Amino acid sequence: MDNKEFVQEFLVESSENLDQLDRDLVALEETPDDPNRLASIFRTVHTIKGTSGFFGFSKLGALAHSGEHLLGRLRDGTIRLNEEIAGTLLSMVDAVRAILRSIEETGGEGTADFRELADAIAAMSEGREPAPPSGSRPRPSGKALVESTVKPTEENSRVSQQQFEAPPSEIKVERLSPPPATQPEPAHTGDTEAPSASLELSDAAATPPRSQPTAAESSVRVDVGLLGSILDLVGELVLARNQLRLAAADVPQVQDAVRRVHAVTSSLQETAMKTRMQPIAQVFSRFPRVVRDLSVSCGKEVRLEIDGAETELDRTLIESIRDPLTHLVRNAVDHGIEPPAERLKVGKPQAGVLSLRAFHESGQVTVEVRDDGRGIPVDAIRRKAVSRGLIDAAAVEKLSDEEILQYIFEPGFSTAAAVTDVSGRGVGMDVVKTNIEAIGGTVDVRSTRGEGTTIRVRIPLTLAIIPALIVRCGPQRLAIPQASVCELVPLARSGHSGDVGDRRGAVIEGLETAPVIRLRGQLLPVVSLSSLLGLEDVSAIAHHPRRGGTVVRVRVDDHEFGLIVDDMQSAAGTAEAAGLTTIVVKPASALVAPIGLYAGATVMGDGGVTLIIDLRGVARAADIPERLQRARQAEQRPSPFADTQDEASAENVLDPLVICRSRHGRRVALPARRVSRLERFAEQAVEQTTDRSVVRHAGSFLPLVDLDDFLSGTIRPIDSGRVQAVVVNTPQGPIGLVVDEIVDVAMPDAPPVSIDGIDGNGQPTPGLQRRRRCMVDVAGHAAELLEGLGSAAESSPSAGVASVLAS
Amino acid sequence: MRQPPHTSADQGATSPAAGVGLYAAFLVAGRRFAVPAADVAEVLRDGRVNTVPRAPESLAGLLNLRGRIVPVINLQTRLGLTPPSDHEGPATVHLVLQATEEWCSLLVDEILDVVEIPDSGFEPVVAQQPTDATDATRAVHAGEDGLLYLLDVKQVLRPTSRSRPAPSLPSAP
Repeated sequence: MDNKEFVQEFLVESSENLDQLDRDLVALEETPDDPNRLASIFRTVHTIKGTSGFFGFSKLGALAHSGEHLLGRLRDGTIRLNEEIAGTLLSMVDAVRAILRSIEETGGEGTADFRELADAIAAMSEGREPAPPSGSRPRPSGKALVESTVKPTEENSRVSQQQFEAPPSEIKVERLSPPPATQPEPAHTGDTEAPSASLELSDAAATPPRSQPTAAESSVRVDVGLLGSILDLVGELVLARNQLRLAAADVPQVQDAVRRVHAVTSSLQETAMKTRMQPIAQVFSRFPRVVRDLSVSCGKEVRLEIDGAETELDRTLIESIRDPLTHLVRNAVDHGIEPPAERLKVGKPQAGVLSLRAFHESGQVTVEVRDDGRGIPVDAIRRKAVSRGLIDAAAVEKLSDEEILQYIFEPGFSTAAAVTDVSGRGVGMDVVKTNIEAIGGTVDVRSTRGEGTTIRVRIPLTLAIIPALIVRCGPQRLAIPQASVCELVPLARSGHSGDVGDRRGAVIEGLETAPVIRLRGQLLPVVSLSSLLGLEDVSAIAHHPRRGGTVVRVRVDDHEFGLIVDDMQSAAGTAEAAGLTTIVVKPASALVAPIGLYAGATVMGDGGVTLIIDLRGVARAADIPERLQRARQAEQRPSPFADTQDEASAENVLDPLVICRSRHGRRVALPARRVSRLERFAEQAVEQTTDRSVVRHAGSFLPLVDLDDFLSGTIRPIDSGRVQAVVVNTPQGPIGLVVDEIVDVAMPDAPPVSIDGIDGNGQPTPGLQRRRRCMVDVAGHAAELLEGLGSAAESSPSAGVASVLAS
Repeated sequence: MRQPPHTSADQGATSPAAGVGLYAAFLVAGRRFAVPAADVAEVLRDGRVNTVPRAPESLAGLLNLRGRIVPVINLQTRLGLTPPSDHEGPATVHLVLQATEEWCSLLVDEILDVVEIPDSGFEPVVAQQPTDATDATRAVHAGEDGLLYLLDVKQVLRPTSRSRPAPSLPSAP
């Protein structure tokens, strides 16, 4: 595994720690008996020792060990700090620094020998006067005595290893927790010196000038709270900018400045966001060791694979997933992966594989913890769920394995046969789930008996600034996180007669309490946001199925549903596309959270507060998971048409049809999903080329073909002037089919019957071979169904149409 | 017991003698209440409150206070008080508090004064039957102008146990 990144982190951290050491040692000279400061110094040196042992930097480890030993004597009062000892310790700090520099530059510890210094430190620990005069800075002294350096090194690293293992949790905290956790000591002692403020200064003073900036110089550690307040301020600046743009809209003199402010604010916001992003490696980095220690104590062999450690995540979230992920990793090693003997017996390789994977997926970060172990015993969970009274024995049999697995998230639920040190106390998965859900994430589990378990944790990329869709519901303006939005579907609005375009949208159907729309042959459950929020009566939709508005199709977890909203809104005062805007998420209030429908709130450009919809909560409140499950069960029932219909025409059953009359009086039905729009063209708009008619549309030519001609496979120019066209999409591009009139948009009330290759007179027509033609009885009138428009355009002379498009 | 010299929140911020506290008094539905003066962040007379659908009645909505989103509590509803017959209109004065980690705004009828009350001047509220009002009241001070109830702001911010729950969501079949 590549240690480079971790070494880099170690270098940055150590470099800061060394600067702190310099300051502490100097301060300690003034107050030699300050126990807090001594403890802090001891800890720092101990950390360096421990980490260097971890990375195999033996020379560094040995040096730090001797320093630690001396400090230990100081700490327990055996010897007292004097100038000489302080000087020696500072020399040690310099030596450590020199080694670190060498590691940073060359990757190795360098050839410098600090034996003299180590001897001096050892002598002081014994209370002896050191043989060589102290205070002399160590210099590379050429050839080192290999034997004498190696020997103590081995011993030291063994010692450090032991100490490592004795209180593992303690070590981990020291080594891995971020500086705010390891460095607050000076503050506790009542020291007024602000460590972070003086960091750069003392860094420059304590280290000799170098040609290349080191890791510590090119990065600064900043308090997270400070970053948070920067982000808050940027958020307010965005707000002020929006107001400014609104106010300055009529003042041409300041437009340039306003635009600049706009641009700068936007990039400032982006940059501020980036400061909060950190690679997930920060969490992953601890797992090699966790897995190693665990597999040793469980007597298992585990190979850890880490992928996507560079995936970035908001820093506040990184902290929140640390513990849950650790728990999942521990579970996988302890429960998931079998002991080597058992693995060999079932024909698996001796070493189990634990794979940690992080990746971006539609605005979220997914972390996957997968093991190839024995899987979760579903039957044991079934029994346990019954014995704990969570579900009765009859009901449990009806549940699928997947549903049964959800019980592992119940509080106090554990099927582990033995309670081990590591896990199995039954406090675990519920805490994992609670913690992940607290930051707006989800956990799902998949497990195959004998093959392994995969747990997926989905985490929002950031909690701070997200793109959102601003919608209106009655008087309320609401934000829907864009990450969950799949598409917007306009709803049909009952208009005046002849205004056909209005009817093209989806129509709300179904039961009053379980409305649906048809979307590309599928039923999509919809929820009226207004009624869910109590802004209108539940039955309002049923009474006005063609009320207009928009369905926002969203996807939460694995559920897809539509939210009916009145319309989209642009953030007031901004020029962003209507509906979509970037919002600064703020916690709504502890009083709003229990309502369960809101994920937070944001301040809009006009200063108003807008609530952010918690789609998961909305899905729960509207019973979506259950509705979808019922729908899935219904799907599994054999369809009455399944035998006679192929898949495509089975889809047609659910597909609305645009029924039109051709100019020869035929009734032809076109699948509505193929129709992009209905349009009338004026006489002067239709242009004639040598053998066909086209209209200019949006910078290209739209070929016009008479529907009757299209059906018979010939292409002629359109003779009449003003035409009604149905613009259909084909793989080659849109084609305008000229019809006499649009009769209706309706649902077929019987499945179409396939009469492939036979025209209306019962004669096979070569041009129609590749089309599917069916007679559809829609609302009492028979119509021919024109399907397979793409293949028709390919095979028939209308292929020429495609070439027109291409040119 | 009213202390005329202290008339502004600024003076209220100066620490009084030990054992004596400064309290901001206000009127809600004809009753006098008080909170520690140090908890008062500001008083707003015109705040644009955005309502929160499905919120309990006592949550009047959310207020944008210079980028900070502050819940607005309708104190009269929260305490379940019945206004006297001559009571004028709904409360419109925002008493913005920073008593807890989360700021909040209490909708009150009128801000009265800042008063100085010795710690010994409070007596426990003995309730014949506990109500939302008694739950959210820490102590009572019997002053010359009548009773002054000391609000427990933390309790006010807690979801009520007694008053009506949030309207239930539409149930699916």
